[in-house]
Amino acid sequence: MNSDSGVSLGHIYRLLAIGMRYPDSAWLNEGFMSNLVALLGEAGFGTESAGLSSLMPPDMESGQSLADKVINALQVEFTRLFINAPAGCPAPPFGSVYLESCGSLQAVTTEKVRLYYRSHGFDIADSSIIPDEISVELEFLGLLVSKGEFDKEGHFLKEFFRPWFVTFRDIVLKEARHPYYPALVRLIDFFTSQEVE
Amino acid sequence: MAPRMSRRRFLQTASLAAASVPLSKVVASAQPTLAPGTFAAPGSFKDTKTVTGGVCEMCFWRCQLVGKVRNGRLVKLEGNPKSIDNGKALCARGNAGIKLVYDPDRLKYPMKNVGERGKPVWKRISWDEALDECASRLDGIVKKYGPQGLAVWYHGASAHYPTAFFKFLGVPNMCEPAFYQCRGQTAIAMLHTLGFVPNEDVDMANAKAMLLIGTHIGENVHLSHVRNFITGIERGARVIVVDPRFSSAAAKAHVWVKIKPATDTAFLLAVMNHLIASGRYNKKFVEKWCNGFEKFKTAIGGMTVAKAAKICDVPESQIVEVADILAANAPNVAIHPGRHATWYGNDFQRIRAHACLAALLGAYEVPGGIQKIERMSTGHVHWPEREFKDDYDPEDYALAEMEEKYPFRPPGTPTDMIRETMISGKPYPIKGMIVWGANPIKTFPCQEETEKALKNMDFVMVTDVSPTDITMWADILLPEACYLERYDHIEKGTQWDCADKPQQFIAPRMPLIEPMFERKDSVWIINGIARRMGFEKDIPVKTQEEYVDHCLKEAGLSLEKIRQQDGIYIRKGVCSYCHAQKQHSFPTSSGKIELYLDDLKDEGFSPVPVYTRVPEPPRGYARMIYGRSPVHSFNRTQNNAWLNHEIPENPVWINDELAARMGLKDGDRVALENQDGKRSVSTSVLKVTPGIRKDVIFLAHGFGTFNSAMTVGYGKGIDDQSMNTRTVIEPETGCCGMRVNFVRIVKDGRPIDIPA
Amino acid sequence: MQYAMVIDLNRCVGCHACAVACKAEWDVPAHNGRNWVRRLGPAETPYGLSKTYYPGLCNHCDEPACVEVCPADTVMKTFACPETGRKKTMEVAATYKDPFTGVVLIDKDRCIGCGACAEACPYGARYVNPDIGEDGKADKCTFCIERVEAGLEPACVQTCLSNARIFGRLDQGEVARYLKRGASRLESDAVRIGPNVFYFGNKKDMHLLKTTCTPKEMPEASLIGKRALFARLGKGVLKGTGLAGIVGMACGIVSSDDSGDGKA
Repeated sequence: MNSDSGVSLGHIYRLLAIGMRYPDSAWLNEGFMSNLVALLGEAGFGTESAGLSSLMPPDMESGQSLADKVINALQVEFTRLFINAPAGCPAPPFGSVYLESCGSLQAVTTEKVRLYYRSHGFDIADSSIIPDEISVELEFLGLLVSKGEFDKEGHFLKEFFRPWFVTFRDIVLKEARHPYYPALVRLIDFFTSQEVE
Repeated sequence: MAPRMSRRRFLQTASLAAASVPLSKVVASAQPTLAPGTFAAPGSFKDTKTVTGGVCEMCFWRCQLVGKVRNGRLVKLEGNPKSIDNGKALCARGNAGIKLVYDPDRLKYPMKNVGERGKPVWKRISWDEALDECASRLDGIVKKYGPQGLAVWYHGASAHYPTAFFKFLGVPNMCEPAFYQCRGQTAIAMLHTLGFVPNEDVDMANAKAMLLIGTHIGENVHLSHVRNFITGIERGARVIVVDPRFSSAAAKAHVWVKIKPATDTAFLLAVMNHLIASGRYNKKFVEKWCNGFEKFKTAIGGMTVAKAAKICDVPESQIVEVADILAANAPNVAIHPGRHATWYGNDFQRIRAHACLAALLGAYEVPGGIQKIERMSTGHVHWPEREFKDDYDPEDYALAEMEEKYPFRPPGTPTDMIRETMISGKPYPIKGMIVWGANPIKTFPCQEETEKALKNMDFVMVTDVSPTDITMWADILLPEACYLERYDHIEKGTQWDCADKPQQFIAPRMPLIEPMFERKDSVWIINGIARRMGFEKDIPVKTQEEYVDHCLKEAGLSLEKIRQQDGIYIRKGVCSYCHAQKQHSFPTSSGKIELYLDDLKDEGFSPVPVYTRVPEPPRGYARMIYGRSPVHSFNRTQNNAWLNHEIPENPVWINDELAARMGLKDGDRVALENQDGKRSVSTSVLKVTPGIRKDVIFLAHGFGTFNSAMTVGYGKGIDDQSMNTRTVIEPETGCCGMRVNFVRIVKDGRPIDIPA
Repeated sequence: MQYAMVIDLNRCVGCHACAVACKAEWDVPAHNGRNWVRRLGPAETPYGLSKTYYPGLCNHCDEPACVEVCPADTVMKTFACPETGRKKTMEVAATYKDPFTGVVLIDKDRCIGCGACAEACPYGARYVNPDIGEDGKADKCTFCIERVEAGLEPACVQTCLSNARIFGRLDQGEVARYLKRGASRLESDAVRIGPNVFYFGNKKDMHLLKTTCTPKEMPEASLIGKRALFARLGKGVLKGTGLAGIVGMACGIVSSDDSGDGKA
């Protein structure tokens, strides 16, 4: 049981960031899911919370094959929504795809995001990472709030994150075939929309 | 659904006590993607870093590049200022390379098809899982059916290492369909006639006259080749273009021979016959350097100007005019050898006719003529020689050898023979297909057959950069680093103008940026498979860098040395005209240019170039011919957002008088339907023009992408290949003729006959 | 002096490299262009069959129609001659013609993105780039003056594989020589504003180019003026007008604007 009752926004951002990574047993487990379910519940997304609560078996030993099944289904869903799919993946999780009329990766807006990271003392950990991928932006927001930089968090949300996330969110809500991603984007929306002036 | 509280309030009051693991612990276990770093100011083009060593692969002319990189982003590509080939210039495709690198539709991770073959449902898998599966599936097929149970269709420089590995495995049947169905046949016909392969080394820049047959430079934008052509025109060359269509080259020509398609050989024979009959051929050259002139002369004697004029549907006077121009300017005439030549299944003879005409004019190794260009040579990486079980010899299982077919075939097994065996299982089963960088769906005729063959496989593995048509048929799909992200091909060449100071250059492809996502190069991928198949100790090189360094060693060079030279090593070259002043060498069996080729006779073919008639269009149809779009490399560039903006589809050319009679207007949306009732899936725009004959319909090749995962190019324009439900396999070479289908126009769902 | 460009159609093969290099150099959105290539023909002309190209770009006109319609507030701007260093101060809106180089430029910081200039250009050389600023900014060819000042060629000139694009001073060197040989402008009776891009080619190609690509009329001034005014009202940049006045006027215009394409 969770003995840590204090909820840190930094941790929440990281959880959301991890949740947008490719589903993998390294992180997609009962521990992760119970936190996500709890967050959804607390934030008022009762239906979504309930929808996910029975997803992961609590006892990993006996529930391994069930967990694998869930992970497998989410992997297929992630690939279709975010990587490659017939008719194109509907929601590439990269800011520039939405912010620029060409819809390309590594565009001018991506460069601006990277410069913003750098000007706040961070950079992508290796060159294969796209700076404006949703999980990287969420991780950066987590780092900002962990440092107590709430003004900068607000600025980043307003200038960089929200302008594309809103479209991304709507597409995911429309196109998803599994309850996990709609729940996750609603939660991301909850934590990134309210404080933006 | 609206949340009930604000984030602030949430953070004040929420408790995650219900969670089984503390949130802090959950998030601490994941690797971060952001790390502390430093700030660098953004800048304009002045603040970019110039990275050298790029070699283009938007087409296969391979111009040398530099990249302008800012904040890890490739902002622009430019020609390498040090290049003696393309210089600072690039074509549209070269410039658009960055839209390929950053195309969101590109393949990013290894994927497994968890749906049906041909109707994929993809799941991203790890490289370990992907390579494990490839290795075990390939191994399983080899164990069950022998190495002959596998076949490879490949294309491009990145496939060199993989094909070497599959050869090591004992796979007898490998084919580069885009070479077989393009210039492979030109190369092999030239090799047998001249003893060397001139490719397109023809000195147009210094020619007094040029003859282009079915060569549409300008729509075919090979940079230094176009420069060569335009320079020749500027220096005053007379230009003759033979084409059923008023091509970009024809638009710059002095003489446009509006020839009936499929009759070029008759035209060439008549020109040669006329030159010989009027005594205006280069007697000295022919005597010394040509084999079988008398037999040749007799054999082609029947093709008079009058006869050819009828066959080719051109005025007699025009054939004479062409012959006169060539004779008057010989030997400084550029008889272009051609490039893509797989048209009618009788093309080997036509290409030989090109070579013979140049011979009659003495147009070899002289200013303006066909050149034997000396390039630097580099080494190869070999997998070790291997003893196979049970005296297995791959040669015994090579399909063309077994069936004793196609004695003059280009290297490899004819594409179509592999496909046939995949379907029939005869003479033995082929059950595993490896496709590397090729898109055989678009490359060769009879797509239904290709699909049938693929469905018949136990395992299909595809490696590519983008989700092309063929990738839909993969069981395991592997994402490859593109040409700007990897080491591989070593480009070797000379200064583009033969009259300039002779120089040679070497430019190995070096990455301008790091690959994103999990894209890997072919050495990494193949070694991973080899290791898992138990060939760890046989692996010849560990990395692509080592591969290139090994090849460079033979030239006394290294990547390090070339890096110091800004990506291009240049040294003094050999003047290609000098041979003519001293001694030619034509390393054929006779030591001369084979006007008459005994080897052909021995195999039951005509030893002298011969014109054969091909079937005429049925009533209501016109012959479909195809060519190139200047901003596209066939299907490879269709998904490029910039190039798509320049030319989004392939206009269907139709003669204006015909169109008027058919009630069609310029700009109409049309589909095509062929003689077998096959209708194109997509449509294109009609181009009504006087610049095309009435018996042909023309469109550029490579459009009409079938894979909807290519969101920019999908369904844009018409796939000409889909209209090729028939082909003619050339008996000499095994190459597929692709101008043997006939089409009519479909408008608003209604087919309209082409009036006679 | 005046910078100018000559396109030699005898050399041009219609490869579109110029259009794509420009996109890369200036981050031009895929569906717009600071320059373009139109493919013409094959078509009959009085001089024979022709197939040629219209590589177009901003003409940096002597009397640019785009400059006078710019509704943005004016400022005093000082220009310096790149050769003599001589200075000149002028009152300019967000787009202006440099008195020394003759290059027509846009001040992106002050452009309000109304698109009036784009509509005013008879050559269609301007567009509104939606990726710049919140509502977009006007954008167009600058003759790559930024590159030229850094000692480089314009991006399109550098990448031209057959040297069909010749850039330089109007009165000197290659450009002047081409003008003497008869390079000419795309002008008609109605459109005569002194374009500084010149075309050179054989008779048939020039005939096809001129008959199909010369603008035949100036865009209608009243519409552009209305759009510009409308834009200014929307942005609240009209000098000396109180809020009430703006709202009142805007309402008046909205109700009388049937076309409904105003960009308030």
